Amino acid sequence: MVRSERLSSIRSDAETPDGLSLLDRFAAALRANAGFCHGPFAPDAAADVAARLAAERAAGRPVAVAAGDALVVGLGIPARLGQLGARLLLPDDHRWPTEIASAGAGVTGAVRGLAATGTVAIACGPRSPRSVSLLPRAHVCLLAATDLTVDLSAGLASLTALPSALTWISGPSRSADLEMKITLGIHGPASLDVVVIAAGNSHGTHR
Amino acid sequence: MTSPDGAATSGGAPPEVALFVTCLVDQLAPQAGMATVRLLEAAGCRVVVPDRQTCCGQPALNTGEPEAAAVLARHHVSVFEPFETVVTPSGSCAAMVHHWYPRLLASDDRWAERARAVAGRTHELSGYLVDVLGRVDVGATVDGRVTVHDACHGLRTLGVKEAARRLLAAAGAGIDEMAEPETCCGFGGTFAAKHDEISVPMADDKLCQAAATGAGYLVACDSGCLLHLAGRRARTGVGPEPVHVAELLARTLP
Amino acid sequence: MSHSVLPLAERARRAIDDRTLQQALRTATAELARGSELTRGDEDLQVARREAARIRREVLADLDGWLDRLQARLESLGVVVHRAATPEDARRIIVAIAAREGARLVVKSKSMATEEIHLNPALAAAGIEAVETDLGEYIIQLAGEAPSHIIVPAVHKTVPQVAELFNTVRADAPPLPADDREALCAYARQELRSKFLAADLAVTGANFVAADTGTILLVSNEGNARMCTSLPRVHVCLMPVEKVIPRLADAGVLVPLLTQSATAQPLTSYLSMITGPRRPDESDGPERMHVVFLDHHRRSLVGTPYEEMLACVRCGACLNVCPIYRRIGGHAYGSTYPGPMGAVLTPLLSAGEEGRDLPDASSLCGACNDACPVDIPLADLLVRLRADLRRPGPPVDPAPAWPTPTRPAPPPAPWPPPRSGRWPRPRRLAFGLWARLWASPAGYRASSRLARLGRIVPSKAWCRVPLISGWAAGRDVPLPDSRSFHDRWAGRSDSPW
Repeated sequence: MVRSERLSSIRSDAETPDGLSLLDRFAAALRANAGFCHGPFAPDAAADVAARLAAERAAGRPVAVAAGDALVVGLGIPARLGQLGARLLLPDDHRWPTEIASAGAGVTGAVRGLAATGTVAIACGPRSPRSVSLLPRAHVCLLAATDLTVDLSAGLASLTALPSALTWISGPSRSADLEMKITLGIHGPASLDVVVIAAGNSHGTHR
Repeated sequence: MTSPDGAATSGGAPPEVALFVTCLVDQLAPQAGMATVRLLEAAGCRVVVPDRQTCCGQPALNTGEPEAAAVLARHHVSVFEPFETVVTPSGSCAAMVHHWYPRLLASDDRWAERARAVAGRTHELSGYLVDVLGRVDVGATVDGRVTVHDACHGLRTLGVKEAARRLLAAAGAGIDEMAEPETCCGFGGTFAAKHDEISVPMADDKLCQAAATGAGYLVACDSGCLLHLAGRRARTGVGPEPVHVAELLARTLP
Repeated sequence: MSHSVLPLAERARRAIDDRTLQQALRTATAELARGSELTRGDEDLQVARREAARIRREVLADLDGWLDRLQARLESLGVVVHRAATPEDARRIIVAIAAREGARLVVKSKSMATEEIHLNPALAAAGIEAVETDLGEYIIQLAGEAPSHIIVPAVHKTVPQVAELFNTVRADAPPLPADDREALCAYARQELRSKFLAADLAVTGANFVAADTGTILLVSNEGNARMCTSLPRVHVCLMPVEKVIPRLADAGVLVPLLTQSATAQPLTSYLSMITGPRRPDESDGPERMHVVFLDHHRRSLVGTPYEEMLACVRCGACLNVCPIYRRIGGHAYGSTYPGPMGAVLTPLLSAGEEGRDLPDASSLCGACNDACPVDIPLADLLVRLRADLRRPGPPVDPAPAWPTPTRPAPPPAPWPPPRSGRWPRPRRLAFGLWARLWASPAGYRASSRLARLGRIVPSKAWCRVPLISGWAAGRDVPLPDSRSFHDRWAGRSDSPW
């Protein structure tokens, strides 16, 4: 397609003319949107960082986990959180309906990342409810560097299946409705931490 | 014809320019028309004034009477089509010819073609001097500082912006930009009278911004804007003297 | 709601005299207008604009066909599709869904379309509480006002005004401070969260809906659209028909164009892509979904110059640069959609019943044309509307009702339209005579001499004449010069050449 070629010629999949990698650009864009980017880490370290971040952000409140996400499962996030003494909240837990709305953090995996806009794509699924990345005060998200692509067009082109809800998240919740000044955390999470798993691993969803 | 630095080149007759003076200038601001002629002559043109010209039809179109506008458009086309070059001191009238004539006359292929031909040869004054003739220095000297209002139709339909500034700068004027030179002054033709409750505050905004620059003149390339701003200034005393770029330059021609 | 009965001129005057409003408008529009400036400067977005134009042409070439394809796809996902020709139909359909579902509490995500059909009063009349969840919409709902901007609906409200509003609602609770945004937002978050969790049904609009996958796309920064489409058991999406796009892939071009133009963001915090209700093994998301296609005279625009308006992505860029909007604000327009896009849409969607005075409230400066990310020639459409609204009734002929397909694109209609043969209305007659008079050089010269005679009459008398009185209210009236340009030229010797 002419359009993709035109856009891709400016932002190649690997390196851009100014020498920034996709990951560099992703991190810069996310930070510009008041999000936090951590890594890239090897899987073990990534799991550790993600669990610690979630526990810290939660500050004693429950940590909800999208237990159906491949990255969450693959990195053994629930167990890590347990080891840290965090109050774990899993989707099939009977306490979920009453506690999810007041959870301190939610941990998910991402199925894609967009370098141009610092975006992570979260897919809902079995044992991965929509609310994990929505109701808790903080959102911690795992992203495999191999799942990074250039922009929304490239991200859409790479999808092989559509979940019932696919949410592209580019920063914390915000509003400028009060005299045009930004306030974070209006309805969705007030913070977004993305923990990147370095390339050269078997993790990450297939393109 | 002329080289970019403005010197007339190899022999040949001076360019003949047909002046499209516009009904508004003819009736309410004739000095701007005379200044336009002096400027074109100073730039080396031979000016002719087709005496059958009347009105481009803009007031009719803007009032929602396109049939009447089309009648005037056909007349205008027939008056000006014998001429190679048509120059007007009004950006909005030039824009009318360029943008609306082909649309107004679209139902008749012949007329549409004739209109397009005339449009292709119609120029707003400052754009003609600077971009076509390449004549930035016409021999005028403007003392002091000016601020420029970019009249809407000239700006957005014809890209008139830099030309006027270059003419003024070449004449030695210092240009102090107001906060929003491109924002509409509130004239808009019939809008100025139908919605004076909005039009007048818009004039005040423009005059206030002009006053804030400390410039001695508020310059524009459209007499409609200037009459509206001058009329308001006469009531409030706010802002520098609104003047047509042609008039300001022509005042100081030798 | 607050669609005033005062004439536009009076509403405009009040708005201009309201210093708080003026300050708010200046700040907000300047901030938001950066978006369209950035759009203009970005090379990739220029490419996107051309793509967007191509997508629009593709959809308009077969709008009914795309809607049929979309309907089939949605139904295959288990979504119920309804077709509403009019706002009344849409209200009836949505209220019926809510009643059938036994919904007592409805949460709404920001949707100009639901404003357009005046949904909230209909729900209230059916005993159903409807809560706006976009912070700006929530504020104006509490205030009993209409939105004044399509992106920042409460742009006219200051922080102290919002604090006062919230404190009135909170009644006995300790008052929130007048200047603490964080506290006000925390209050709204908590209040609305309890509504989200308790709501039976959610109503949203849609930014785009993809025909190939049946995916509904919603952009938001706050996350209220996500709340609405994740928590309540029923989701109703009101979709104006022009929102259909051929392919989900087209969103890659259209969404960034929208967000960049609306709020200067490459992407909003959230972009939700919803493809069907919750699946059997999922534990949240709506159990049932409905999409209501809304026509409201949109289909009648296809094949006319006004079809360009169907490309509008509701970014608000035209509002932010409009010198009139920036002075009078949204409420002065007295319509759901304000600003240049509202001045075009209102008479078209209402088939001439509303907003007939809006196209005149413009100086035709063209800043809107420049700002529009999908190249709608708004100022040109306003000029056309001034002509097409001369006769009573709709400015365009209505399209055949569903399920008959829209008429095939007719040959371009001549404009101006040919003489109807009937005796023309007085104003048209007057202008026709004037045009013929001035198409004759002798006639022009005669009226020029007459104008000179008019100088004898004192200007105070001239100021009684309708249009001139409008001018004279605030400005000195320029009288015709004693010698016109042609007089002076005739008195001059020929050019020295």
